[in-house]
Amino acid sequence: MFAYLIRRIGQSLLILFAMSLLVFLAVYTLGNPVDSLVSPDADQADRAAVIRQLGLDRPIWEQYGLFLWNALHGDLGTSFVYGLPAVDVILMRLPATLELAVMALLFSLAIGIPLGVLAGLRPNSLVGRTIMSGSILGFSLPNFWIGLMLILVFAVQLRILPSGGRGETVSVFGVAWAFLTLDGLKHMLLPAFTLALYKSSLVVRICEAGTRDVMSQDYIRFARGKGLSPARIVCVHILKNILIPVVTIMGMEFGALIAFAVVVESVFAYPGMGKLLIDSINRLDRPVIVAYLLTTTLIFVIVNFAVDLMYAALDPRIRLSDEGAT
Amino acid sequence: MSGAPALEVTDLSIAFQSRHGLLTAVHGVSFSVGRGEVLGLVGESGSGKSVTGLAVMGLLDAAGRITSGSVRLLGTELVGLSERQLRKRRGRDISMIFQDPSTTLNPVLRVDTQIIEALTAHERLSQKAARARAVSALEAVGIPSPAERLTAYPHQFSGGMRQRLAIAIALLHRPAVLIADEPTTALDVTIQAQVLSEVQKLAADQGTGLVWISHDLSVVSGLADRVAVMYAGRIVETGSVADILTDPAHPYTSGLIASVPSRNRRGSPLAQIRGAMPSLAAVPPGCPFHPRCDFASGICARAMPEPLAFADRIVRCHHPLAAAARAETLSA
Ligand SMILES: Nc1ncnc2c1ncn2[C@@H]1O[C@H](COP(=O)(O)OP(=O)(O)OP(=O)(O)O)[C@@H](O)[C@H]1O
Ligand code: SF4
Ligand SMILES: [Mg+2]
Repeated sequence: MFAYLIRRIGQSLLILFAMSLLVFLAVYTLGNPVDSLVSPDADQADRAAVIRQLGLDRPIWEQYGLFLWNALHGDLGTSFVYGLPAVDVILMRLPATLELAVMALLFSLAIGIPLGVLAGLRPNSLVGRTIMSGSILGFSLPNFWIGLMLILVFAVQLRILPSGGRGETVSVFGVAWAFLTLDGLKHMLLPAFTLALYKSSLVVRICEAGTRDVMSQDYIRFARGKGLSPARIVCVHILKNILIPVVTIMGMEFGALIAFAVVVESVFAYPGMGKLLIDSINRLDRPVIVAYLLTTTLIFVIVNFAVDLMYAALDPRIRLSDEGAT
Repeated sequence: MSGAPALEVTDLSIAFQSRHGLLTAVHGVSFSVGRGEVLGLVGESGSGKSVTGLAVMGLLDAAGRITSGSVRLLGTELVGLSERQLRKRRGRDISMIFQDPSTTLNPVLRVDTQIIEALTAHERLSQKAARARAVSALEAVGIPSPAERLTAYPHQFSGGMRQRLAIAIALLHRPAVLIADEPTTALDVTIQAQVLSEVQKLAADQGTGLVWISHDLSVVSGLADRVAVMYAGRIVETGSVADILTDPAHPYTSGLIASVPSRNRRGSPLAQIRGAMPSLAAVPPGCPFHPRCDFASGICARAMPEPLAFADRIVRCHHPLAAAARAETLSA
């Protein structure tokens, strides 16, 4: 277990290192930031001063070393737009995106698991077929279009939900959270649902396939042969088995949720990290773009790690060891 | 031994819904088992043994159903009972164990969970009492240090131990009938014999009637009181073990006996029955065994033989073996 942890942390650091290199090359070496920082009518001396100040006159590996050194100290530069450290700008927006993604994850599980299991239990029934066709629809409808339709129906026509923004927040340990207020929840409902729809189709598919597979196993026959109730068989014997792939896949998809949040946040004018990214790209705010990419990578690494631990907790056949299961 | 037998199956037919329409897998099968008695159900792969066992339990999968016949458990008709009523009997009055012990237990649930849920499905008892019962159940099937092993997962047991776990669970409520669907086939030979004798002893001790399904006549011969031989979904011969082994009346039975490796024929090649069991969609007309039978005549390809009863035996054949001896019995 200990060896496993060490190895896993090592891997995570390697991923972060590789990502930092990519981000550095992609964002810092393409184009010339001096152009956007110095006014066009500045003279040669002014330009040279800025270049020296940014360290752009040094060799590239030295620039990267400096970038890495600063990054390790939590310094990813100062946002051109906000005049604040880029990390702070990201961290201010991070909670909004995180709670949106978590809420979307919960939605997709709450929708996907019951429907998927039901479809798996009755694969040839009308209900089962309807659910599976519905899941194909969920896969193919584009996120932004669903978002717009939801706004049209619930905000414009029915006027029961807000069309955008984050709503009221309360501060816990200095972080503003919206999920603790009713108004905040109302604002989160539509974007979270939009974000969840694609994922819930995925959960439906995993659960349907899993349930069908598990249902045909001898241990389900044996369990029925013991005289267990259908509720016990579904909620314990089947669910505990299909939760293993659900947790693994959804954990990996959490990163994708954050990525898709970019679109959804833009549609709903939701002040999260994703919308910040779009704004920053439009304004060429490089430090913020870098901070976004690195933060997202970090979240990705942490979530994958957590998924591994959960996977081991759910499946007794898996032991966390250097060689994997033996 | 008074009253109804533990299990009495009469004229049971079972069909599956398939792409080729409704296919009958089992045709009018009848047998019965008394308390403490052992019935061997023997036949090649695909003859319908498992399907028969599952139908008796009411555990056929969605495509399969009982099309006619009766299953009486301790005198009560099971065919036509609701799932709810059947559930009350499963695990309590009748149990079933399966061939592959690596798949009979749920891999993600602890052993104690799987035992205790079987107990509480039919009895109200405290967690503490349930654990005590679980420990003694494991002890009874010969699992060492049962109290510690209770919290383990199935994969932490060997194949033989897993089959013992399944047996312990199946016998928790001292059922009147245990259907054992080739429970030793997947085990090592030495373990096979141990598990076999343990089940036999436990069943005899608690008066459980045993339906032992096997494709291996030699396994059944040492265990059963009576034998029913199945071919292509029909019972082609039934009788006591001694009668069947020494004086088989059906050519298929005699073929099965000839293919059992035995000491007196050491060195001589094993006689295999030529050909193979037909698939459900392609059962030949007349006696389904005729393409493989050395005794077949014209009528065999045209007409299905009717069951012929003599002494305490039944045989389904136009030309039963040792016909002379039989004719005497019939006319007497
Ligand atoms: N779910 C099912 N759907 C369709 N046909 C089935 C199904 N289950 C069994 N059958 C058919 O019923 C027939 C009898 O199968 P069964 O499993 O009872 O054979 P068996 O005697 O137990 O053989 P084995 O020794 O291989 O276990 C086979 O022809 C099989 O193809
Ligand atoms: S009926 Fe004919 S074909 Fe069938 S077993 Fe008897 S002799 Fe053979
Ligand atoms: Mg079978």
